[in-house]
Amino acid sequence: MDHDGPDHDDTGVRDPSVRNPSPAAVPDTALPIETMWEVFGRRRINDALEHVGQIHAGDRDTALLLARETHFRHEEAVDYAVVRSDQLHRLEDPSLLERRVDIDYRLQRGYSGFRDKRARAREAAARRGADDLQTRPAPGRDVASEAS
Amino acid sequence: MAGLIPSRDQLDARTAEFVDHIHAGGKVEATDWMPETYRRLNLKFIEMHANSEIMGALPEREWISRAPSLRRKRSLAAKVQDEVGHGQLIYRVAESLGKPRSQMYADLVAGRGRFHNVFHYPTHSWGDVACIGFLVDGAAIVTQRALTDTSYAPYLRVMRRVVAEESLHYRHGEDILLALASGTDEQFAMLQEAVNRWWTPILHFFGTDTAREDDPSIFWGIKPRTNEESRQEWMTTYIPKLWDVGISLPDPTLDWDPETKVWNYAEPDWQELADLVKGDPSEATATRLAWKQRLARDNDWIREVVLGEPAPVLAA
Repeated sequence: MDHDGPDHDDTGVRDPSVRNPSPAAVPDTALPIETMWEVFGRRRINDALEHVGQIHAGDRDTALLLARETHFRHEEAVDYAVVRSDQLHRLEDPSLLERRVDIDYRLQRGYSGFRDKRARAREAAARRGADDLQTRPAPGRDVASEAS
Repeated sequence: MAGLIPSRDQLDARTAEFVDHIHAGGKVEATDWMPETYRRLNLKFIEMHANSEIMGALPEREWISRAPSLRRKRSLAAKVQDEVGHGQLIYRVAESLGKPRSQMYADLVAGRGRFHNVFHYPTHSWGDVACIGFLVDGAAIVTQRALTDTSYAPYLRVMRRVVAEESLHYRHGEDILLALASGTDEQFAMLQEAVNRWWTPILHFFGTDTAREDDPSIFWGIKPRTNEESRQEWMTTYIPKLWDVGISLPDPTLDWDPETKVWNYAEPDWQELADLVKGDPSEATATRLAWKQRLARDNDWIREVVLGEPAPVLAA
């Protein structure tokens, strides 16, 4: 499909690979934005809603029906929702998400070298003569790596 | 508490069906029908959790300006921001059970809101920051990870995200703790002294050893594990890590039994916990609440500016 041309094929289904077309790029033959709906599904009950695609429908009930028939025929979801596309507001300047300063302290990789750090703390304990402390090897676990 | 755990023949058909659903691992959405007891207990539990995130940020916030390096300062500020964010996420969940967020916040600021015992204590030194970051957050990770299987689905989804962020806080805390443990004698003494003070509050944090069948939170599917199960898991994970670097714990009877795989420990004074969370606010809490009251008063105009006039909702 030609991405520079109309972003609808003859089935009326919008090509999801076309991102954020400007209204001027949508030809007269396109269905109006007011009838386009964004579809969100939840694969399992524990999951957050995730965007799965779009459909065209004139009203809410039809949108819910068509979303089910278009996107959820094969047990892809246990729950879903639709939102009218003109109610969705995108970030206009993606560069706002780029890193401008070092933010490693907000990321797992900002905290590293624990094996060495722990070894140094053990050596310090030995220097303090802490060998009389209980050092029973009870089962320990690495919580951080489990949680992430 | 007995009234909160009804016997089978006390239940009407609809409630019995609901109880069977959650006991079979079923989940509940905000829009589903739910028994009043379920709604009320969940709201109380989740509101207290949200309050704890907010009040838990305050003891650490006190140390942002006193952190020993720029890196620690940024790391601590980022963590405090995360915790306040958790509070907001969890208030949203509590709100879905019928109490407006503004009311919960007003209750908290006025001193009527309940929150976890560990956030009623003062912080005396950088060693406290290590203890909060590693041991208290560790206790929170244990209980919150159990909540990723709670029956109230909106809470469960938020907990998944919260637990992922908490694992970063765990690293932040471990980093501070190991730095102090490898430092000078004074630094180690500061850490050991803080660990001694935090030991009892952390044992308290998990609550009394209540049998599974006597715990309304378990009956109503709010938390899947008993207080003692969570406390034992925390001990199994954290005590060896402390002993490993020469930190001792202020309980000479503390011992792990390899036969039963159970930690034996001296029972803390539970009256102390009851007095702390139900009595007059501690000095630290009174100070922090006074600070929150001032912030709420001074910053109200920001809320008005940011929220502005509500945008018109277009009919679908």
